[in-house]
Amino acid sequence: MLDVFELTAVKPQVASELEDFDQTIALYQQRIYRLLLAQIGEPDVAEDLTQECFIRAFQNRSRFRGESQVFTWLARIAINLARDYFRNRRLAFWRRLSRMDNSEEENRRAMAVPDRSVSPEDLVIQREKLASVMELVKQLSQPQRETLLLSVIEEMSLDEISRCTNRRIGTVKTHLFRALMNLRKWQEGKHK
Amino acid sequence: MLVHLSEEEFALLLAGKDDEMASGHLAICSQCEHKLENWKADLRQIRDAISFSSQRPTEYWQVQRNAITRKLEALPSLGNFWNFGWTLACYALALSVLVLGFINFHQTQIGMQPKTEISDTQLLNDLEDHMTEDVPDALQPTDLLVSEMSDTEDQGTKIIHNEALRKSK
Repeated sequence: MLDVFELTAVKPQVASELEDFDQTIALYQQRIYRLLLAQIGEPDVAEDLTQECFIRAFQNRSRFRGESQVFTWLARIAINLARDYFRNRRLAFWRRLSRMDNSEEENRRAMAVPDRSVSPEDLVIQREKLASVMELVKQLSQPQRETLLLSVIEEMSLDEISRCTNRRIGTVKTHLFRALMNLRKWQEGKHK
Repeated sequence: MLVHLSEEEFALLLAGKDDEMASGHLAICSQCEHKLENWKADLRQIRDAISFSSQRPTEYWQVQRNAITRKLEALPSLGNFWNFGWTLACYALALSVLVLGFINFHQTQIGMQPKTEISDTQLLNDLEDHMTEDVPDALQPTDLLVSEMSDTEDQGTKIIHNEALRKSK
């Protein structure tokens, strides 16, 4: 099935239509959300960044030349957004520390309406599972985490991860190796 | 004696390194093969946990799609931006031409002196008066010096001339 990005190469005027883009969102939104959730570990932030990812993709759709898969391109945008998020969060931490007041993000979360589409029990189980995984994953460095999650969750090849993270294949391999070793070490430590 | 794969070799295999030795060993060693499967199972657990945590009902995704579409519709389009940009540039250009034109016209007005009509006779009389008028007091010593110098020069010329005549005789 052709989506808006594959159409870009054929008919740019068709791609500009929002109706077509809606199909692309429907195809990839779950995967992008999962990817961001795995990177960040916070469902609210992952939701916001998923929306931002598609907005950026639509704004920059002319840059997509069809050299990689649509998902690889979207995942690259998502990875960059996650990097920006961590960078801004670090800055926000120092700002908060210096001003000792609540950040805009915290205020926004306090005002947020809870998601009622998932039952409270499911939500608790989901959060617990996520927390147990994130406890391990968050100990990895950012490049290791990005590489491991793209490999394990999205089952991307080294070449695809290299495109997504804008790193050389050799570097990707090294990060993946180190991530696996660290994970193994921590898992064994947990079992003991 | 069979040497089993190390942790590093397992990690390298999972990281995508082509190692014929390790692959060959896995084919004959069920213990290492089992260990590799354990590694893969642990990674699958991570994937399943995150996949499970990211599950949402269909309505959720629909709501999110609508939210994205609304945000996209609210964005100013690039075409509108360029149209606005061109209009602004044209206005700025027209304004600058007007301002420059005004400044140039104003300067021309200041630079131009009104013409005064004067007859040729009057002009000659003025010139003659100007030529015959006394030297200003400040220039009096200079005038004297010039006249003295010219007298000395005349006398010197006469002496040289007379000497030349005498020699020729």
